[in-house]
Order: sequence, then C-alpha cells, then structure tokens
Amino acid sequence: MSLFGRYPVNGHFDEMFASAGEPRRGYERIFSELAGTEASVFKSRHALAERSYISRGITFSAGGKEQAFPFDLIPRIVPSDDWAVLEAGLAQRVRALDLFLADVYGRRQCIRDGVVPNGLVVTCQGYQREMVGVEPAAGRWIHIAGVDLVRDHDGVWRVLEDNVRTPSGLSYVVQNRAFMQRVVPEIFADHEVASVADAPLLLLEALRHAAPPGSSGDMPRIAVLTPGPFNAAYSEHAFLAQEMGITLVQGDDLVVRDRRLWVRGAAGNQPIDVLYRRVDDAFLDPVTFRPDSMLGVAGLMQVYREGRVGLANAVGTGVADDKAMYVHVPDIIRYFLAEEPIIPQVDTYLLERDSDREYVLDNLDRLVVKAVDGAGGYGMLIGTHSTVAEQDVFAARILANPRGYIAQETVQLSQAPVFLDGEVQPRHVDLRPFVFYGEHPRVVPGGLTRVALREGSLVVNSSQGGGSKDTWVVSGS
Amino acid sequence: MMLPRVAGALFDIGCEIERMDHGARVLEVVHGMSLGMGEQNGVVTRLNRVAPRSMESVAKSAAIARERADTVRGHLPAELWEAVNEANLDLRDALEDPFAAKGVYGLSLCARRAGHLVFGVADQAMRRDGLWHYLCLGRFLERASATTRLLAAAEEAWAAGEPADERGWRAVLEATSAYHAFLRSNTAALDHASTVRFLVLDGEFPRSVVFALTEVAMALDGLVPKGTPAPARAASEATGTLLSLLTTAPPRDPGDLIHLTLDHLRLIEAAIAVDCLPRVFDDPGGLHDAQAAHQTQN
Repeated sequence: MSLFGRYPVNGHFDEMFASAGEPRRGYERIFSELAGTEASVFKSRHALAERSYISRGITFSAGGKEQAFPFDLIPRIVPSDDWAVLEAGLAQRVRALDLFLADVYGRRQCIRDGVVPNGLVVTCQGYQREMVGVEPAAGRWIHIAGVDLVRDHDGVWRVLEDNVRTPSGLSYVVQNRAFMQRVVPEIFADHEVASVADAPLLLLEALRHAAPPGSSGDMPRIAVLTPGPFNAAYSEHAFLAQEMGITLVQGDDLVVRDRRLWVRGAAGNQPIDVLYRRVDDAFLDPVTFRPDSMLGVAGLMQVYREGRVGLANAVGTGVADDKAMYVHVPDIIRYFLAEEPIIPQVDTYLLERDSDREYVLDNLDRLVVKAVDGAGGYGMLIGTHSTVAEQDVFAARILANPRGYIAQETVQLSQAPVFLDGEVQPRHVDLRPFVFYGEHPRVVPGGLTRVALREGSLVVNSSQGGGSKDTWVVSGS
Repeated sequence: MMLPRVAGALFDIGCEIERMDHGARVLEVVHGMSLGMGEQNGVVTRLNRVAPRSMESVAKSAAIARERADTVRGHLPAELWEAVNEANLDLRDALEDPFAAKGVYGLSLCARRAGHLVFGVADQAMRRDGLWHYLCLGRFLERASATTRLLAAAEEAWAAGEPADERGWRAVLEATSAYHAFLRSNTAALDHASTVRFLVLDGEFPRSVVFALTEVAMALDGLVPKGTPAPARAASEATGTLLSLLTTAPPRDPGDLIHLTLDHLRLIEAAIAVDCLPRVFDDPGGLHDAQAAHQTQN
C-alpha cells in the first residue's frame, strides 16, 4: 500500500494535493519518492527523529514522562516565486509596525491623523507609558517578528496575527531541518532547498543593530535573557544562545552598576550592550514594573532609557501585536509606507463597536472569538467547534469587557499530509515565518509550519498538542 | 565569560557523573562477590555498606547531573548536554526494563558507558577554560574521595580483625578498575598493604588518590592563578600539602595512610567550597520558577 494510498482530499485546501493522487507544483518529486515508501519504514524514521528530539532535550512533560515535541517528516513546500511575494509582504508588514511603534511612543502623528484611535492604543495591555519619548538604538523597535500566516479555503495566504514581543519557534525551524537531513536525507535529492542554517546568525546581526552607539565598537556584547528552565521555551533560549555564540543569562546573573548593565562573571563583571530578552515587559525591572519580579534586573529600565543598553525587542512592542490593533494594520501600512498591503488578512470584528458586537453575538456559532491578550491558543472560542454553553460563557465575557475580545471569520485552514498512527492523514496547518530587522528586514526562508494534530482541530499551538513540519522554499519547481 | 552558577553546575556535573560511574562499579563488584560466597569475607561485607543501596541511587546521580546540565545547557557544547541527557534517559530506561532490573550488570554497564561518553565528549568538545577546570575539579575531587572511602571501609574490616582474604582485596581493586593494572605493576602479593599503597600512591594509575589529586591541583591552578592572594588559594595550598605528603613521605602503615588522606581531603573539600563554588540561594516559595513558567513566548 502506498504511503498516500488512503489519503483523502476532502474539500479543504490541501498543501500537497490538487486532487487525489495529483501533487501540486513543487511536490511532484517528494510525492514520487515517498509514495513508494513502506509505512513501516517511515514509522522507524519517525522513531529515530523522535529519539533525536528527546536526546537534545527538546521535550515537554506529559503525564510525568518526557515526550518529544511532535515533528512530521513530510515537508511543506513553498515554491520560491510564491515565497518571494510572501517575503515582500512580511518585510512590508514589519517595517510598518516598527514605524508605527516609533510614532506611538514619539510624535503620535498617526493618532492625530486618525489612523489609530488613541483609546485603543493606551488601553492595549502591551502599551508601556514608560516608553513614551524613548528612542531605542537606531530607532529600531522590532528586531525579530513571527508573523502567523494561514491559507484559506481558496489557498490564499492571509496574515492571522503578528507576534512582535518575544516570538518563539525559530529554533525549531533550524533543528527541524537538521533532523530532516539526518533522518530522511534521500528526499532532499533533486531539490534546491533554501538553507535555514544561518538563521541564528542573521538574528545576531539584527541584535547587533540594537547596540547603543559607541557601546563596544563593531562587536557589541550581547546576551540572551531567559526566565530559566521552567519556561516552556527554555530549550530554544539555550539553543539560540549556543548558535549565536553569546551568553545565556538569567536575571540573577545581571546587575546595574555605574549606569551600565553588567554580567556578574566568576572573574569579574563584564558590560552588556544588548539583551535579547525572552522575559515579558512586566518582569524586566522590579523598580519600574512588577516589584515582585524574580526574573528581571533592578534599574534596567533606567539604563535602557538613557541609551546605555539595547533591548530586543524593545519594551512596549506589545501594542503592535495586540489582537485589536491587528484590524488597523492595513491602514498602518498605507499610512507609514504609502503602499497597499501585499498580504491580506482575516476579516476581523472589534467588539467595542456596537454594530460589530451585535453581529458577533448573533453569530458566535460560526466565528472565532479571541481574547486580545491571549496567547498559545488559550482564551479563544472556535464557534464551529463549540457548545451552546461555551458560546453563552463567551457572550457574557464580551458584554462585560468588549475591549478585551475580537472576533474573526473562521478560516478553514489549509491541510497537509501528516504521518500519524502508521498512516498519512490530513491535518490543518499554519505557517510562522520569522523576520529579522537590523538595517533592513530579512526573512528566514520558509519558517515553522505548525500542525493541529487532533483531527479537525484548528489549534496549532504546541502548548495545546500541536506539532511542526519543516518548511522548504524550493527553487526551480 | 563564565558565570558563577554555571561554574557550580559544571562542578556538580563532574562530581555526579563520576559518582554514578564509581557507584556502578562498586555495586557490580559487591553484587558479583556476594553471589555464591560460602565463607564470609569482612572486606566484601564492609564494601557492601559503602556501596550504593541500589541501581536507583546510581541512576539518581545521572538525574542530578542532567538537572544541573539543563540549567546551564546554553553554556555547554551541545554534544555534552546531549551526552548527559542521554545518560539519564538510558539509565531510566534500563531501570524500567524488567530483565535488566533483575541483576546489576546491565545497569552498571549502562552507567559506566554513559560516564565514558560524557567525559569523552567533554574531553573532545570543551575548550580548556574555566568551565573545563570546574568539570575536572568536581570529577577528580569526587574520585579521590571515593577511592579513599572505599579503602577506609576495607581498612575497618582489617583493623577489626574480620576475615579478609585475597578475594576482598581483589574486590577493592576491581571496584576501582585497578585489578589488572595492579597485577602488571606490582610484584608484591595481593594483600592489605599493597592494595592500599597502590590505590593511594600510584601516580600513574588514574583512579589512585595521587593521580586524582594531581588533576585537582591542575584544575585549581587553572582557576586560581599563582599570583592570587593567599586567602583565595587555600584550596590549592591544601591540595599541594597532601600531594607533597603522599609523594615524599607517606606513612608506612596503611591505616595511617588512609586516615591522613581522609583528613586532608576534608580540608580540601571545605576550602574548595569556600574558594571556588558559588553560594546558592534557595527560592523556597518557588516564585521564580512560577514566574518563569508564565512568561509569554508568543
């Protein structure tokens, strides 16, 4: 039996198949290579990949037992000409959001010009008053962004959300590719796949751009600030620090002295010019933000405001990826860049607007409702998969706090073949590409394809049982 | 740049992996010797008292090493982190294997191989910087102590006049992988005195006290340069003193030799704790870890 023998093309847009047995452009050689592979062989390859993940400690705990993050060996392919459009659209979006942040915390011209309502900006949970008037090094606010893309029923790429605070998943992009090359080397034959191996070095280049002027010459001293091993993304923090060749620190390792940030070394303190922080704004500095924070550094914000240290991403970027702000991003692009958005987004309703709220409350059974400060797929209602009782709960929440929620038309995410339980089955996927913004925006080719492993589920987040796939940008297809 | 908590973790990793390896050897030898032993042997009985209680306690060392390595994995070569992680996973799997769990050989082999792999990878993948010196410090200080403790246990049986024949001294040597090295290098009969002198004084055998202390001294030299003021060199000086005593004028009596070594090792351990290791502050309420777990990684 062929690996794809029972694979149904069931009405959703399928990434690999135009119709049953007919692969899309770019997938032809993968299809012919994999179609002749026995399921048992593929299963053993999967077991090997899983073991590699566990050896590397890329795991999560389930029922007290460590398990590898689920990873599928069938790559997702994006032809390079399609990718070129996405790349331009992603860079456009991040450039616009960066300018928006500079304006919001600076001249506030876009608010005066009515592009974004002031009430929305200042009520964003990610808005930090402490950043008003602060200009980060090189005027850059966003150094790394993860923009979630989906493909709808017609295969049209759309932006689902922006992540410009501490976007996670870059390590999987690099490691997934490395594991693929080890476990299924034969499927790379006859493909020209854009490399992702240097992604950490591209990130490093963007981080260097965050260094205050004249800090340490051409080679600023950079560290990754992690909350520590109890954080779900800790393995990513460690991996990126290793791959960039920079120090991984926790708050306790740092100190502010003489209006500078230092790492407390065994042989004396050393200054730090840039901190790639994977700690939330509110925990960065107990003097300025939460006084009970155990994760930050007292006095950090003072030296940051004085331009003596760079933070990536800048404090306060959360205002740009607030789910309610998403509605305004097309206008933000038009306003700051005088360009039309290249990648469309999903129709979204702001529940503060009476007409939107009324419409949403009448259609909860078919819309997706999200808390504006939610993350990880939590705090959301997927109307088509919900019970009446769940809809009632969300209706009450919306009425009590309309600013706290948005609603979107349900996008029937595209599906891709995934090897599960000994056979290939369709599962919904999204794509998180990463954009680094130093001097110019640079997009890592491909990104992290996230997979909703439960049949029919639209939730791809790893914290809710999602898996991942390697994403290939392929030339000459 | 070396952070104090990372240095402390490397010391602990070296110490725990060495402890795992040593514990597995002792447990395997004691287990083997006790099988079918008709006549009681005092040395073996005493060794049994200092041996790990079970393979679970050997595996515990691997788990602690893994936990410590996890906290600093961004500072370790990826291969070293993997080797420590694998050591823990393999031992855990072996403990769950009902066949392997029947004896100690399978688990002991797994532990010893894991130890070889960890230190082999460290040898090949680590720069000879401060982190390397801390790993060596933990490893060889534990080795010197473990060998001495083993000899002290055997010595108690001898001093108490308990039955102790060649089998007992062979067990001591096998528990330190020294039996064949002893036979090749030593023309003396296999007895109490020759065993003690070999395992303490033979500077060419890697599990002897002198060899391990020489490595400790080298690690301390790498960490605390010679020009450092005396108070910060207490560990180096204590190590130098013991090495000097053992290499120039060791006591002739095996019991005295062991007790001298034990007493000085305690001083060295205390000095290293003060001179070289970071102070650890607890997070009793678990607030740090709770906050860390709830950081958004969107």
